[in-house]
Amino acid sequence: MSDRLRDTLAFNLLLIVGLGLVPVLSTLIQLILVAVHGARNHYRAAEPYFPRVAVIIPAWNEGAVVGASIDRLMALEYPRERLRLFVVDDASTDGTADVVRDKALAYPGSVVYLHREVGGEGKAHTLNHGIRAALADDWMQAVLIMDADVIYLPDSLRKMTRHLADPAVGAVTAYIREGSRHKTYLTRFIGFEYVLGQLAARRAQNIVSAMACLAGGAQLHSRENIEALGGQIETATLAEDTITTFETQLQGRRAVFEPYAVVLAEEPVTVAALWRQRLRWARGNLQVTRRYRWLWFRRGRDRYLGGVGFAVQWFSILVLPLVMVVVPLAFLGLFVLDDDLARLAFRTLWIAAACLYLFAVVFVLQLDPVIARTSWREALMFPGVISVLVMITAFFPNLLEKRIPSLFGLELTAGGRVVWTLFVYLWVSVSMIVGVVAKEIEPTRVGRYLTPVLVYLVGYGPLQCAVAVDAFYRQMRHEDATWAKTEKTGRVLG
Amino acid sequence: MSDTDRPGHLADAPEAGGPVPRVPGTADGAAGHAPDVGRHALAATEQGWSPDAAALREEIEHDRRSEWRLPAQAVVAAVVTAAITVVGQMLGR
Repeated sequence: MSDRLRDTLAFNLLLIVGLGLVPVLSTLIQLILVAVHGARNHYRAAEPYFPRVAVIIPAWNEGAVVGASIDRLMALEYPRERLRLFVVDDASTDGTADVVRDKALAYPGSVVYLHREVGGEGKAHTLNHGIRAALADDWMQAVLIMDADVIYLPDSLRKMTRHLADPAVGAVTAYIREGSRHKTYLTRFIGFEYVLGQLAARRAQNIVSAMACLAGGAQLHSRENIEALGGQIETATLAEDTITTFETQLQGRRAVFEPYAVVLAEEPVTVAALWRQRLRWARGNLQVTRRYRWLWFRRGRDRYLGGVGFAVQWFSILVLPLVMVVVPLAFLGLFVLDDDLARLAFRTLWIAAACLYLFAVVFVLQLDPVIARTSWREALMFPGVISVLVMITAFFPNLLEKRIPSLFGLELTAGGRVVWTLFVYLWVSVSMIVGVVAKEIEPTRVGRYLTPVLVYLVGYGPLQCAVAVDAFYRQMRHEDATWAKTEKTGRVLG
Repeated sequence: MSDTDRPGHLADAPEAGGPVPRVPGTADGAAGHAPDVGRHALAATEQGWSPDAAALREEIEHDRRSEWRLPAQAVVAAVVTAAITVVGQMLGR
């Protein structure tokens, strides 16, 4: 190989490694923006405001949870005469209808039972049924879209409505906190993920006035906004929440995140259930990306959503799995071409990732002390035990290669060092494969014990990236996108 | 798909299509806004919860001020990150 060809190849491989810095820098900027929320937020435009709120509760076989949900909603710190619950029974086969009928008698005029004869078309269809009923007269001034199993803390709704006092705001969302009564390793991971993805990321989105997604379990829309959206929400995709959020903003209204409005939600307790839920989300995001292809990186089309910053943030998450595949391959290529250059590129990227990881964990854990108390271990293990070891290797190359083996009187051979080097270079790609293994073996007797161990080893982040790869694959194959409901059992903290 | 004729159904709701309820003291033309009269507590009544505009304004101000913790928390995180990195480098040599 000529020197010129070698240099060109090495340069291109370094560019690919540089791609890996994009998600790191994007996340760092996002976290810095979170700090700016101290000075720039929507509270100056907020004021006490109590519109008449129609709460739409889609219910399919929610008999175990919907009664308690209704009781809690009626006990919200909100004028009761300004609250009306529309429970849309999506042709349930359990006791949902009886439970809701009883509650309608207990709260006359405040609980409305709606029944769909044919169900199973998806949450968006169910919600639209309720929204149509709520829009049928002029009573409703705002509509709250929620899930049957979530629990609104008593002050949450009034903390959301105060932002609607600003006519520029079309929609408000709340902080969904993981609230399962019986915590598992997986719910603790999700707890931290929600602090990172909501309390942090959505504050940053408040700053840039570009909200990526209103939480499906906590969307408050002004009547004007929901009417501007055609009086219904999107039904053609798996990401009705995101489409509604984008359309709200494209119509010229703001979407605001209220961090002090807390809604508790029960989240999946098995990797398989989590995989199904996140596959739906990831495929939905791919559908959104395609649907709004005219918007990205075109600030002229929309001042905020079309901005470069928002697009970089959006695509950083979307293409992260691809980055996790191509960057290790670039390390491998560099290793073949120039070992020293490969080592430099590897150390630069992983040290940057390690610093960001440390900063993010310490910062984000402070945002929700409740979650910090239960999920600090999962926060530390979010990238996975092995990735943490890879970070340590990047920081201190001699520590794992020389010093620790020497404590036991061992020394890595030249061949052993090559194997170890290739392992740390390729680990992030391999971690996604191990994530798939963790899911596949979960139903087996061994899997009951081994799957949690594997998830801690590979990390929750790489597991999500494996789901995203699955989503890419299924979208490319144009597989049917059916709406699969996440199983709920009513084990949310009361 | 049709709504069933059951208790609590929209058609049965006493308020359906009826007059717009207002919070006492709400200014005309600002339907939905809380009354501008102060009460001493956020009281729960038999009719449900009643708003206290002064307390709610104070709550908004409190939440606004609470957001000023964010820059301080970011600084704490940056200092801890720097400290761990430096100490780690020293130990790793």
